[in-house]
Formats: sequence, structure tokens, C-alpha cells
Amino acid sequence: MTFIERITEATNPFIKLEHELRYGAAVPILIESPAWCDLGAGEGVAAATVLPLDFSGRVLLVDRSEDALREAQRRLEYLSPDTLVVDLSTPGSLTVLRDRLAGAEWDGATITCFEVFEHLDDFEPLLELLRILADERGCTVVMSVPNDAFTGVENPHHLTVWGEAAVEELRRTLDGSVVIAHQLPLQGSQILRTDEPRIVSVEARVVPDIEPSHFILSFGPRAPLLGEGGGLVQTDIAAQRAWERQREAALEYYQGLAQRGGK
Amino acid sequence: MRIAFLLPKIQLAGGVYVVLEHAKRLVDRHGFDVAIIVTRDRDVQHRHGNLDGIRCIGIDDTASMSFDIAIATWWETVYSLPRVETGRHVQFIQSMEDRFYPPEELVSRRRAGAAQSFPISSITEARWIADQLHTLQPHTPLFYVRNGVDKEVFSLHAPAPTSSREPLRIVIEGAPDVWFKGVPDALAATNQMRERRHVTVVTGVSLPSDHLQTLADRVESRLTQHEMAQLLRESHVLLKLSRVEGMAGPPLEAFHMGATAVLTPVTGHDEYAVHGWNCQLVGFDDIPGTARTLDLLARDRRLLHYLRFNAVATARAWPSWAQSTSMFAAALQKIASAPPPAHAESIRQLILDTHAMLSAPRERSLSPGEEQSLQIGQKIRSISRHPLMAPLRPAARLIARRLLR
Repeated sequence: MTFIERITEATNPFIKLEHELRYGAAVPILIESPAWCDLGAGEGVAAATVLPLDFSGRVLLVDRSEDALREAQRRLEYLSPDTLVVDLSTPGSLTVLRDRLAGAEWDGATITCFEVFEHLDDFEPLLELLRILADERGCTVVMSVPNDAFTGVENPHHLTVWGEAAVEELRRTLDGSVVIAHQLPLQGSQILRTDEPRIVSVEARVVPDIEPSHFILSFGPRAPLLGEGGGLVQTDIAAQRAWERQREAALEYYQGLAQRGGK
Repeated sequence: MRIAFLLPKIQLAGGVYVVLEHAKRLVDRHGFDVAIIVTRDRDVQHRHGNLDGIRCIGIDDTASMSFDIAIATWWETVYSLPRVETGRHVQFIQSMEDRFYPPEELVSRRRAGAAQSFPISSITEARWIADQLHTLQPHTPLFYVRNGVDKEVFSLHAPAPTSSREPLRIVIEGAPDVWFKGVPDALAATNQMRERRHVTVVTGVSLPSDHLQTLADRVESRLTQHEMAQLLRESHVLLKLSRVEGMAGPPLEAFHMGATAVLTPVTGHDEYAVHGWNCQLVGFDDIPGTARTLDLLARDRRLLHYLRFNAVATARAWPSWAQSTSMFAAALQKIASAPPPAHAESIRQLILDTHAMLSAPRERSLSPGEEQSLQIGQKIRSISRHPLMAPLRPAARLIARRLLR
């Protein structure tokens, strides 16, 4: 079964867009770097959408799922990526990762780590590794965490809980040069008179002082290059309704099954 | 990494409990070598569960030991830091501790205040403390790590809607004789309520007073954490009218168990309390207003349920001890990896000099003649402040000025 939090082609388009925007924010840093390492790369769906075709540096995709990495390698074939299967929550695996990044060709690399920390039971060893890579090897880290504290949703896949206060805690364990960006949700609608698909441009006034859905942090020498960006995706409300009804029906079915003792 | 936590003594107190929670997890989950150095108490053998696998030693027995980081955890222990052989000094500050002392306890107040002003790295649990420390020491490394909650004991509990036919179940927590805990005010407020209520007081005192017994429906002392969790689960509201806190844990524990809180806007409340969302804030010294707020919750059970419902959501987003200690470990790693302080020996001497200056008995600083003059001066001052002396004050001031000339 596919890990429900993993971004795949079947993921809700809005969530996929959010992930693409995070990779997009890292692109200005990435194009100045000799190498790129993506921690928690998954199937590479979002990365393949936004990353430049002409990036010539070394690429390493890291994930705990071999299947996902195989898919990511296929999608990002144009970057000739290497892969590494490790569980980032175990110190032993982090040693493997550290060794893999030991060569001088990884000095000054960009390391992306989106939506990973909340899945780690203990994030301190990974944070320490990232801090050392930034402080001692000139790497720039771009990472993100969700604003669980605001949504208050109980997510069984999130082993630690993140929000504005947790980001402030994290910021203070890093150097003062951390750049923090807020990812803000948008809603929209469009009136269309033609039957032809077309690209529309929509303007939105975005104010910074509303609750973000995610926090993006960047630290290391090129952190100030962290980009901005926004986007809209069309909502297929029929598909969404089908998916939600399917989930609700399945939930009721299994709850009923559980009440009857699993028979 | 070798870490030493300095504690005055090991006792059942919130601040000590926090230190031991971190110490235990730094050993178990992060592979740190942790020792507890007891600076005041001679007895270093304790049965606290969190001490398994941790060395406890008296300050006099540390001469042959060295540590990477020594962490003072209460103002008194800052003055013991120079006695510990260590690469880095750190303070774990859980409150601005001079606030615990009333103005007449001047020496303790000054010693506690001075301890916060030394230029050594700090880790603190609340942003109001971080802001004040930053103002005092803008160039000193400062880390912010919120205390965790034991999610196994205070496991999330969704509140069930209640009917106004049953009394509002209120818990008051705190030591009645500690001036800043506000327990007498809380009892006064519940006794001014018009609606039906059931009040339980939880206190650390083993023999609660008869007066306390008459004001509350139930008095519990020295509850275990599991017992406290069960009590909160059966209750609707935690009433806490403290005047000084670092970051009070009990309202947050109440949130986990599906109770809301009525509390003063005491320092640290802003870490989790939002008026009208997950709790009700009431003014300091406003006992009638607090009573009316409790009456409102007793009458309006939809509002009560809304606050309790959101309290659980707030609790869900609060870190566990495991997450909190991960952040604590990250802060220690950062401190250890930074270059050593440039003036370590000067800082050590500053701590020793301040200790010597503020520890000197007061009578030695004044001659017998000066002491007598001081007492006469204090007597005259107290007489001149008497209300009956008010009409004579302008003339007295004039005479005093002429005499001083």
C-alpha cells in the first residue's frame, strides 16, 4: 500500500501544487549549487515538475522506500540521479548518508528536505547533520514543516508536531542567518466562456499575517536566495467528491466491521 | 557528550521534574552521559523513576570529574558552576526567579536576579523569558525549548457534552501557602459563584488546613500524575489564578484531558492559552469577575464545550517529552559545537565575586553606629508614612532639608 502522505500522481492536486511550490522556492539556490541532495524524495513527482532540465551537478535522491526511489529515478532521468535507501530517523542510516556526502563534490550542495521532520520520531540527529553540512561544508538547506499546531488535526503519520512555536525553537538552534518563509493557502474561482482549455492568469492580494499552512526554512550560505512563488490549480469537484465519498464510506464500513468484532 | 545538571536538591517539584524528564531522555534516546550534581542536599540517593541510569553526586565529590557542559537549573546553582570542571556553562531558566521572592526578601531577590545577568548561554521554556534574557544579554546564545507533556499519562481525551443540570466541576491546583499561586483567590471566587459547582483542591501539602476543607468540596494532596490526569478527565475547568509562572503546566495538562481553564494572564500563558478559544482569561485580583466567568461556564454548556473542544486541539499540537528533549539535545549540540567563550575565566570570576558580594552577612557591612542610625532612619520613615502625619509632612520635609544642608 502506498504511504498515504507520499506525493504521487493521484495526490490531491492542491497538495501536489503546494509541494511543487516548495521545490520552486529552492530552485534559485539549487541553480547556483554544484550538487543537489533531496531527502525524503519520494516518487519525485513535484521535483520533476519544477526542476530545471539543464542542471548539470550531481544529484542524490534519498528515501526509505526503494520503490518510490525507482519511480523518482525514472521521472528525473534527465538529471542522472543516484539513489540511497535510508531511514532518516536512525543514527546508523545517517552515518551512511554522511559518508555518501563526504566527497568534496558535495561541498556547497543544496539539500532539500520537505515534509520530512514531522515523520521522524527523533529529528535531532538529522538536524545536527544538516547543521554540520551547512556550517562546515558550505551546503544550503531548504526544508519545510507543516503548521500542525494551527490545524490541530490528529495525523497518525506525524510523529512530532510543528507550528510557529516549534519553528521558533528550531530557528534558535541554527545560526542567526536562517531565512523563514510562510506558505499561505489560496482559494479561487474562474469563469470561462470557451470549451477550449487555456492558461489563465489570476491576481490575488496576499497578506503575510494570516496563518500559514507550512513553514519553509533555509540556512547556509545561499539561504537568502530562497525564492517565492504561488499558483492555482483547477479543482475537479467531481473527482474530489468521489474520493471523499469513497473515504467516508470505507471509514463507515470498517467502523461497522470493528463494532461487529471484525466479522 | 558529558552533561551535568546542577540541582539544589531532588524533590517533587515541577522544575525538578522537568530537568529529570530531559536528563532521562538525553541518556535513553540521545546517548548522552548525564550526571545530576546536587549542590545543597547531602542526600543524593533518590527513588525517582527518571533517575535510573543517571549518576547523582554531591557537589563536593566532583573534583576529579569533567564535563562538556554544566547546566545550572535554579539560580542558587549558578553560583556553584565555577566549582564544576567543564567546557561550557549553561543556564536552564524556567522562570525569572527573583519574582518568587517578596520585596522584603531582598538578598534572595538580588542573588536570583544577578544570576540571570551573567553572560552564559541559556535555554528557556517560554518566550517571555527569552525576550527578557535577550534584553539583558543581547549577545549571549539563547535557546527556546518548550517543556513537553507526558502524552501517555495525559493522553488526549475528547470531552463529552455536559448538561447544566450537573454542577460545574472545578479543579484548583497549587500550594495554598505560596503567595503567588493565588489559591485563596481561587477559593474566594468559587465561593462567590451563584451557579452550582463542585470544587476540588489539589495541593502538595500533606495535611491541608481545616479552613481549606470547609471551602472546597474535596481536597486532594500529593496526587500522582495518573491520579491528577484522572481527576482532570472528570472535571470541566481548571481554575488557576497564579501571579508568577514560567510556563504553567497544569492548564495544558487539563487541555489534554478535555478540560478548559479559567486563568489569569500570568507570564507564560500566551504559549497555549487563547481567550474565548480554549480558555477564559480573567483579571488579577478580580474575584467577582472570576466568579461571574465561572457562572457563565456553568450556565452556557455550549460555550463550555466549545472551549473544551478547542483545548484538546491545542493539546494535540503540544510537543511530547520526546520531541521537547530532541530540541533540548539540538540546543546542547549547538552550544558544544560553538567556539568556547572568549572570556571564560573572567565570567567564572564574575560569578564568584558576585556570589561573595551578595552572600556577605548584612551586619558585617555596617558598623554598630551605622546600624543604629539605619534603624533610627527606618523608624522615622515609618512614622512619617502614618496617615495622621500627612498634614505635617511639608513642614517635616522643610526641616529635614535645612538639617541636611
